[in-house]
Amino acid sequence: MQTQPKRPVIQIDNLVKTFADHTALQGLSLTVNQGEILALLGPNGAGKTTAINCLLGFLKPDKGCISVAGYSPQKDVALVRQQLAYIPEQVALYPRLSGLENLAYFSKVAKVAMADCDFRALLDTVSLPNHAIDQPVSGYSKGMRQKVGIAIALAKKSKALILDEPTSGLDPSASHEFSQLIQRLARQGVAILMATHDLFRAQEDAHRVAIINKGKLVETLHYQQLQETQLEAHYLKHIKVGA
Amino acid sequence: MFRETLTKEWLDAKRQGQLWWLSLIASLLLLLACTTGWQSYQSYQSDAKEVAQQEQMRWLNQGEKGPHSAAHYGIYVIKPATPLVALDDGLQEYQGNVVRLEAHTRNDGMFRTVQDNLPMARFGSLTPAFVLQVLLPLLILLIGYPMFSAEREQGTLKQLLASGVEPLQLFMAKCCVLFAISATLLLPVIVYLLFIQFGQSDTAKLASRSAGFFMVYISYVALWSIITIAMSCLLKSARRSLIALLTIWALSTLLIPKLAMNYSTHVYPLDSSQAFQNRLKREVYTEHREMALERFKQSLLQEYAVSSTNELPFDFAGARLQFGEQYADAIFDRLFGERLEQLQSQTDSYFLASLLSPMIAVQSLSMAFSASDFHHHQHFLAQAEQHRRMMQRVLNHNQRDHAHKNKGHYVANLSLWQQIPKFEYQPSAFTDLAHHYQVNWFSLILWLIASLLLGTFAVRKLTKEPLR
Amino acid sequence: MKRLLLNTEFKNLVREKVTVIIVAFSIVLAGLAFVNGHFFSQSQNEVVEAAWTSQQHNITEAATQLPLRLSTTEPVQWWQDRYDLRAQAFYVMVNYATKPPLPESPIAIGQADVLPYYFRMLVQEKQQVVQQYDYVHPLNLLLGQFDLSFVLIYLLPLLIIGICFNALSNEQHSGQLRLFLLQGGSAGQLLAIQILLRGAIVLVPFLVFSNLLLVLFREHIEPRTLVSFSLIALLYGCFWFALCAWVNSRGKSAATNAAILVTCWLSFVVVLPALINTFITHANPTPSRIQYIDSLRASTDEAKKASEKTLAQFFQDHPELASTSASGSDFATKKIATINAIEQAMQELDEQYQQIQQAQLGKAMWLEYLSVATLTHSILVELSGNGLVRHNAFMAQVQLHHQALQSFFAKGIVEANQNGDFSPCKGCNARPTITDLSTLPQFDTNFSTPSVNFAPMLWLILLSLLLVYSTSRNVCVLASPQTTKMVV
Repeated sequence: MQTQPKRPVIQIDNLVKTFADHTALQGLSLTVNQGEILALLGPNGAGKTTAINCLLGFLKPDKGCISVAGYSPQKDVALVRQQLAYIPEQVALYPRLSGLENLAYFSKVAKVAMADCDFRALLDTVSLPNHAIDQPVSGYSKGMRQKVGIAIALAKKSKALILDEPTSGLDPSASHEFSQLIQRLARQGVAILMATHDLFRAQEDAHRVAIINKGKLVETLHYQQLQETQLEAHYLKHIKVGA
Repeated sequence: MFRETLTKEWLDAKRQGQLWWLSLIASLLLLLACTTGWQSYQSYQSDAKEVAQQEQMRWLNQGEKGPHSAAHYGIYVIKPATPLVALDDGLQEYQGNVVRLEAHTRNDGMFRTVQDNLPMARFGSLTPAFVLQVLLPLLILLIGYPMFSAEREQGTLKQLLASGVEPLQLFMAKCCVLFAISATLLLPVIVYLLFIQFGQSDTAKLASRSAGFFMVYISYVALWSIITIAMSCLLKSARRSLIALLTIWALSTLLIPKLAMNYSTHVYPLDSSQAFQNRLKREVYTEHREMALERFKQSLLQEYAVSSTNELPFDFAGARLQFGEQYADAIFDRLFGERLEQLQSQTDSYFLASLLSPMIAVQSLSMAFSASDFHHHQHFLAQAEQHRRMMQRVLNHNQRDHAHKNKGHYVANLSLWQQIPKFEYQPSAFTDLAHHYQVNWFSLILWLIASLLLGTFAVRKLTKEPLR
Repeated sequence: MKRLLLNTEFKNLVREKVTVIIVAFSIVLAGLAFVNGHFFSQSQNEVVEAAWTSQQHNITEAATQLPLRLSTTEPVQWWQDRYDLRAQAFYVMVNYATKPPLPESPIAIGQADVLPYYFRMLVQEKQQVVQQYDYVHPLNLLLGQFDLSFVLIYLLPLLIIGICFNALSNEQHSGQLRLFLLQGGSAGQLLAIQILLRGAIVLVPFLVFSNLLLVLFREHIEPRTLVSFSLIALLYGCFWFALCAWVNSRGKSAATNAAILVTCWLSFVVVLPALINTFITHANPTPSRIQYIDSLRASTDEAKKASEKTLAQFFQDHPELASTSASGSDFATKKIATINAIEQAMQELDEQYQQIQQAQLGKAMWLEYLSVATLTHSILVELSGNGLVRHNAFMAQVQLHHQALQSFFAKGIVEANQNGDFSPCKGCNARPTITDLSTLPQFDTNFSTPSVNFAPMLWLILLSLLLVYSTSRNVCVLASPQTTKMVV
């Protein structure tokens, strides 16, 4: 079901980030290639969100290099942000605007020139129910918000997509639908980095799984290995060792 | 259980950084206001005492002259202030506190302090009353607005209630803590109220006024504490409770009082002083007056069975002057009475707005207890007018009874001036004027009841909190 | 991009109930404030017009009734005789000095409800003249007038705070800002558009409605005044917009922003003005008016006791009258001389009051820069002609008029006395000594008022610019990678 990985889009090399009272990242290195889905697994406080924030250009790392499609968030934060899209656990949309209006607004902010019908088509692509398209987002379920989030990412035609706990709190069918969508994006060549606790989704969707603990990469498992090994056992082993 | 909750609430409040800053600023402002209030009161009192003394000396030493000349010379009387004016100077600056008592004329108070002030003065001065009525409620709501709503946002409220804490006890504990903190800020006021009890001549009157003054403000603090906690409990977020409380505060202290008074003056308009003075002149110096004077003359001639006023056993000019005074007094009573009625209506209409704003109730009662309000001022003016009439009567009667015995111009001397007692104004006992403030009392009690009802409603909602 | 942000923000605002409430409030408050100010000015205008009418009526009536007076054989009391200079001088003169409210008066009533705006002139001590005032309920003075300046200075900032306190912080805490920045949006632009649009929602209805009412109901109002008023309001509003933007740019929660902004409002609009006022009145206390009365009384006694000496002094000061004076001096001349003596005796104290007022004004001129509210208020009050500048010009004109009347009567009375007009024969009426009342000096209402100084508004511009500068720096930080903690 997966396509072959191509050239790297997201590269993290020896990333270190220390806060006043603790070290969040201790030389983390990762690569996500074009069309690849990398699941980032790790316990709470392992450094997943810190790594994502560094990638998005919201945090300045103390050491190490980051590159998104060849640009560094430390130097060219605006260019980096042009290259990627981000879907958090709770997609933040304007509750008084409709799904369509939110999509149009955020896409136009990203200078995406599309007609109204194209935006509708995009929402259709992500399977947002037709009746909801023009309804205020305040009435949307979490899954529907995630779909609008993906539509925003699709409209932007970004080279990388970063997901932070995207399926947390979704029911199994919404979760399944979501995984279908991101796989479609990967097939279109988007590099996807997905931080998650959901071992099942990681095993199902990812080409590779990177397990991190205490800010370090402890193991990377490939698609082939994922089929053969028990991911949960691996994960627990590393966490216990780390603890 | 209540004790534990109280201790926890106290600890929680104590550790809020902003509490100390806000309390410190408010205390400093109140202390500053009390100091300047005391200074102003002292200087006003010493001026009033000194000038009243000088005026009395001047009256006694005016030398020999006709009694009517002395009546025109007149005397200035000054409204004394109670020590409570240092805390609430009310309308002291906005009404003339000096009245000239002279023949034929009933004067209004002279020299309103506000006329000498800069336009900036209209923003208000830092007086204890201003701090207590305007800033203290704001302080209470700034300390109290997150007491429930922040706990709700943090999720600790649900946990607390789930662990079996009685909602009523929790509500009361929070109210008690907020009330205790706010009431502590009244400490300088309490110290001052105790301090002024010593060295005053009429201690009983002052003590009752002080007690009333304190009661009003302690009720005000209680009222705002309950409203703040209730709103914090009823609204979902700290943000909402802050905005709702600020809106109530702005309406109550800024908007409603001003609108209510402006409305009252529109509904019960007053004549301009120009029109009023013209009316006085028009109605006093009429042909009707000349006819009345003529009738008076004829009745005297008839009564004493004489044909000329020179044959009367007294000085007709003196009797005529007194008749003229009484004639004018009746018109003064009517015209000043009509104006006073309009002013009373304006006051009553404003007082009625205390149903919409607790600040109006508190402000009115506070001014009333410190004898610096409209009604106390009218009481002073009425006493001054009684004194003026008594003066005119004594002087005119003296002329009536003695002028005819002298050949040539009759002059009176010190013995007559001494017959006019020194004007010593005593503010009335509060109970004598209490009927004017019934609406304010009623409103204050109503507001307290309403706040308690709001509190009860909040507690009922709190009981269902884990389900929300 | 700006248009997109503007459209979206507008859509967001329109769909919020509170926006409608705020716009309605802004319009209702403007309407109420205008109506109140308009009625107030109208009532003053009516009084001024009544004074003018009665003055004119008196002149015409005197002209018509002159033949009757000339032909009367009935005894006439001189103090009631309008054709007698002495009666005119001391008792019956209908001569007013008035300060009519300007068409722009409803903007800021200021001290207009306290300061006298008309005087019934008589030849008496100016100290007696200037203490006249229009009786209004003292509570009304304590609470002040609900006028456009009150709404602008006190209430509009509260509405601005109410609508702007969560401008960026809402997006920041709900997460839209993160998405917005990732889409390449500019936080500075977003904040600017949010604040300007929200501010406009409060300010524009107020300005449009109040200007409309001023144009419709205040005749002769100059466009220049409307522009000045609107500019002052805009600058004042801009300060609050800039402050809201700055507080929002600091990245705190909406509740914290609201608390900070309300504290700022309280400081600028309520506490600081009261503190400044208390400071000024304690640093340069106005001498007690009770003591003033005492001095006035003492001077009056002194002047009356030494009336002959006073008269001699009067003729020494006015040799032009002494040359024509009759050997005996009548009651009226003595009275005028006494009035002069009292005025001279009180001059020092009067000057002291003026000096104190100047000293207070001097302090106020600097201290008002501490609060944007006091600064704006003082300019608005002067703009609407209800401030001290116009009032002092009026009082100076009143004083000139008072002197003109005194000289007129002093000269006329001395001459009439010399001619024996007051007692042409034993027991007969005095001769009319003034037959045409229009020859009496009339008050010139077109007294020149120094123009309003708008320079202090530069301080508002400077403060706003500083806040905008600091905001732009804060916003840059907000959008760039953080070293310590996450703000977006």
